[in-house]
Amino acid sequence: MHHVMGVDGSYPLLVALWLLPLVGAIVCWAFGPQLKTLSGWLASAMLGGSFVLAVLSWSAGTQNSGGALGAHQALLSWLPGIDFGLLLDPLSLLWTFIITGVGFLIHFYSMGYMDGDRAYARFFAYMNFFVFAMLTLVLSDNFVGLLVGWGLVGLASYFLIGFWFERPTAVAAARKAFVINVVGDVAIMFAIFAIFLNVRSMAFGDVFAAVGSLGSPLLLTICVALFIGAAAKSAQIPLHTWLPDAMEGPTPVSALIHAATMVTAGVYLIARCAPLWSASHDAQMLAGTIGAVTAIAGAILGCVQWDIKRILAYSTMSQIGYMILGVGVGAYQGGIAHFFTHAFFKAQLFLAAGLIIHALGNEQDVRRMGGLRTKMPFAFWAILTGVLSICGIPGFSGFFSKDQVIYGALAHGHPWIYATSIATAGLTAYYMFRLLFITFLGEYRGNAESHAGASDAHHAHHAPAWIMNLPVGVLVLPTVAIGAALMWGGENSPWARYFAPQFAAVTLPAPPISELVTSAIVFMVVLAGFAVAWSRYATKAAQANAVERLRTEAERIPAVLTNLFYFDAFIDLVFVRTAQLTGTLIARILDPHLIDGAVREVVVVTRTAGAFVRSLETGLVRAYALVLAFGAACFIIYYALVAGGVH
Amino acid sequence: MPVAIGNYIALSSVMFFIGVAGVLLRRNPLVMLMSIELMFNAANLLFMAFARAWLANAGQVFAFLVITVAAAEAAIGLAIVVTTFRSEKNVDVDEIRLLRG
Amino acid sequence: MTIPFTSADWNALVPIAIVAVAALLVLVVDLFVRGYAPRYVSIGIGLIGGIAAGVVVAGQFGHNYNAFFGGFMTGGFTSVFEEIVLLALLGSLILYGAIGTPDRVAGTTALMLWSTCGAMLMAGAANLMTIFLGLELLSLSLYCLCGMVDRKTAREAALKYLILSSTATGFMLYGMALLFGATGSVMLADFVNPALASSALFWMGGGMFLIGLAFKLSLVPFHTWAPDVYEGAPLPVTAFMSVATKAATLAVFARFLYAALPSGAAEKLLLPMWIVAGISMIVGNAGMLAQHDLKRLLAYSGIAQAGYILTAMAGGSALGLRYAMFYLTAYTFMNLGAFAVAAVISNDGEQGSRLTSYEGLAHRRPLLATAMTIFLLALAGLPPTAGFLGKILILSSSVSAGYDWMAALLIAGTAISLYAYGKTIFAMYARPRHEPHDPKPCAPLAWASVVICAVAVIAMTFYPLTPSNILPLVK
Repeated sequence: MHHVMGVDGSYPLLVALWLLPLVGAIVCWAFGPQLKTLSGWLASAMLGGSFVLAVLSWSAGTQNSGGALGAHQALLSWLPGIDFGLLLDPLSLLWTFIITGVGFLIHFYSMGYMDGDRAYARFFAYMNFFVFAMLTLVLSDNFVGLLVGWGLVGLASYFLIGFWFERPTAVAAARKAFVINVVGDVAIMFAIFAIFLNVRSMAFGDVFAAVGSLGSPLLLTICVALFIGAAAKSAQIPLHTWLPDAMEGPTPVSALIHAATMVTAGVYLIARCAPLWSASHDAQMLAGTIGAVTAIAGAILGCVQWDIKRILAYSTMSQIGYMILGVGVGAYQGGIAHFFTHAFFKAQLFLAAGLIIHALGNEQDVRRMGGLRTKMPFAFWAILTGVLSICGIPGFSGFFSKDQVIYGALAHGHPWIYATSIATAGLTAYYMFRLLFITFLGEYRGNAESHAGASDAHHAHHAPAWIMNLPVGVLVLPTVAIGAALMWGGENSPWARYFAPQFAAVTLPAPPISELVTSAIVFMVVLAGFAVAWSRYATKAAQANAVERLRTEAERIPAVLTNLFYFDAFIDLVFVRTAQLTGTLIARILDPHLIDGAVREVVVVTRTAGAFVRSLETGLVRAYALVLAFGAACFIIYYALVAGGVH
Repeated sequence: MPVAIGNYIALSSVMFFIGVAGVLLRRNPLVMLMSIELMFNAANLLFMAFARAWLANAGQVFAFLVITVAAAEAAIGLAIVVTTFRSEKNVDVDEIRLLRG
Repeated sequence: MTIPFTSADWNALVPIAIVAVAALLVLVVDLFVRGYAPRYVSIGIGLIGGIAAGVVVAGQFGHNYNAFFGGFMTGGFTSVFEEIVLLALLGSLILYGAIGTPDRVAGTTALMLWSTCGAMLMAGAANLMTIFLGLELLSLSLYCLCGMVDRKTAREAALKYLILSSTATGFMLYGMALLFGATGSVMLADFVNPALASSALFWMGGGMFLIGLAFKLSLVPFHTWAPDVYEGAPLPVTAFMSVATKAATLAVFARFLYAALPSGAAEKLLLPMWIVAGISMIVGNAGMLAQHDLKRLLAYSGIAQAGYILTAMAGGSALGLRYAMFYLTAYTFMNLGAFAVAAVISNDGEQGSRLTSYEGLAHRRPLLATAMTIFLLALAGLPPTAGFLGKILILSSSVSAGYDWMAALLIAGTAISLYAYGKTIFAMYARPRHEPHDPKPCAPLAWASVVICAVAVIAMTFYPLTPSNILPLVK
């Protein structure tokens, strides 16, 4: 089989682009104590270098060469049918831009945020390693390489969530994320086995060329397995519970991994496997539905959170729902566009939130904020632009991408998904403006010491303020304008032309509601969401007794929402309790004396086996000889029987 | 008077199993080494008997080889046992069990 | 009358002769060197001898030589096993140089070289006498090596090894006598005679012969010696023993399996071996749980690894032998690497052997922890290491040979082992419970061997030692 998408030429620059962050990770990891604060500069420089190389690769990645789209670099031939290589086409190039570009800004920001942390160098080693893993994921030209990257980003995420391992909550969150991600990894592994058994090749090109020969049940199985992996990584219902907990990690980690890049890996996977999805209507239905449900559920849960990072986490979950439903129903350009703009405005929101958290001495509860507009005007304006963009106010970047997704759902014939996503837009406006108003308007509600201490703490940090402010300032530009710059003009926009060679155009019947009308409806709904938020949090009356109002509001939240739709309880029931119950049963039935009541893992059985094996090792040489003689006797009896048989 | 080969096999296997039993039952490492010698010599007896039966001198050569190697093994074995004797007052293999588990 | 002893004979024996002469040289030179130098002189001579022998063996790939009238054959797969044994020699000599006690250096080095001779002799042995001679040369040297340090546990290990190994050799020798009785010949090549399949002497002899091999491979239930001896012996000796004994014994087994069985008898004759290999994969891995000593952990691991390698050979396909050799080579690097890490951690090797020394290692010595992680991942058979590739190859060969049940046991054993290896890895990355002891300076050569092994374990997964590249070498 020949490669359909891969090119037989080579493009060595790609290898450098891919390996630079790994070099940074190794150097920071090995020489961290010597490098001290230099490690931050080094790690950022490596990402900057990768970004420059990505820019230089623009024409190679977007043009046809050798009859295929993009640039390809073979790495090595492994087993038959499994060749490793790197592929840079418009899709992976776009992801590379975000990973290295936004990643660079976040690395830069981290030099300020992590300043003074005792494991400063280790943090940058992990961050650079994460970027390397993410690049492996998106640049790989085959499923095995993608899976390797997929596993490595999970590992990097595990290390970074648990970075502050003194906090038990951080360790628990890291473990939860790891377990759920392993569920996803296993599902993808299953899909890859199924693909390999039927296609006998792992290269994307070969697999997509063979889509026609896969039967529809098989195709659906593969897509569902891939989707489980995508859902675990991209926090789609019901595998989303790890994402809010993952906010235990440092805020730059939340911005890079849990907003801009890793959590969108599921979107990338579906977009990459577009030929598989386009061939299976049921798979599209599944992905679209789950995406829509996640979008609205995330938005609803975002309305009742008090922790600023958790609000943003549920918002991320909801926005990824948009992306998944976009690429899921077949509106690939729209879903990817939303990934693109979201990476900017969500990174900006997280980094700006980080400014506040940093200044207030790690305070994250919005109820103890308030009135920060005058105290932190820069953070206010940064968050305001982010909020306007995420809400899809016309002209801002989020508007262009979100409307593409919403309209795409209708155009591809999913009216219910269309309606759900419009409703989600209204909820988004509500909870984002709620965040803005509670945090910045009214009087400061925190305790004075903490605030005073915070300003002291701010001075105590050595890094100059501009290190953290600069990346936020830089991000304002794409947050506001990149949508208009690239996505204005429908079919003739630079965006559409960029992706035209990658995703074949499909002609769809004109939907009953036009794009313009859709935009108008969405805008109305967004205004309504804004109005509700305004009336509840921004009016004079609301601000007069804000402390009391916020307290009663917290009490009135329905139990179903404070319990997050009982998803955590559900996961607990399905996985944790089942394991516990099995353990208890084994303990009750097998041997109550042998098994310690505290042990409730599967390990019990293997431990028992281990104890048995070790009990053979009495240390007595005669006992050993006896075991040996026993074995020899078994051998001799067997051969005597065989010898008797042959006579 | 020729002796049937079966008798040699029977004798040697009796010797061999006496040797095995000695290793399993005795607690003095010297006696255990002697039992192992008995196992080796059972094999030597077989080699000689089969060499005669097949008229193949490889068996006799093999027996010499075994005797030589067994001498070396006895020397090393004695050395190891003696170093153990030095640190323990009376050597009982059942009491040498620092390593286990 | 002239006795044929052609130049081809010499070629076959040159590598062994080099190693043997190096050993004598070590002893002679030691008489004339005084002071602090003997340590480096002895080990230096040993290293040079090992490297020289390795170069000669490398030149023999693809040729066929035989000595002792067909009793010793080299070229072909023998060369690969010889290289592995020499690799083990070099690795353990370096470790010995890094951590060994200052006295008895010449004796220890010479014994290591002689045991290498024995292992190399076994690797090419094609008749029962050479097998026996090689086996005893290897074992007798190892008994001494185990007891070479003045420590109670070392003496205990030597005594246990001596008694149990000699007993097993007794079984094997008796089996050889019976095999001789069945054929009237000591040449393995003469066992191909199909008439033997109906000889009771052959079945009994073959069975008892296999008992000896199973003991040397430490397959369950002939494994009981391994954990105690590995733990008690000095670290370099354990490192050498874990690789060289396995390699030499596997070579004998391969010769027996591939070149010396009457047609039709192989399946019945070897079934017990496959069964004990299967049991070993489970029991060895289960034994690793709740161990506190690295050498002991690796002893149990070695029991299981021997099972894996036999799984590759099950069915006796030529491809299976190649995969077995690939895995054995990978195992050599990962195992020596793990021991080398222990050597870098402490000067006497004993502290580095305790698993508590690894808690929080990643925070104290990140590079060392990374290397150890690579070795443990490889032993567990996880990507991106050669252990992973090796296990995939083993699975494919055993499934295509129809030994699905062994493949299933391999997977089950691997699953059990993940817990033990994973626990050690997690301990390295968790917060240290104990205050770190002073890291002592360590020989740069030991560091170098850690790095070389780690690079090899990763590189063998990819380039240039991918199976398609390395396997044509060993037709």
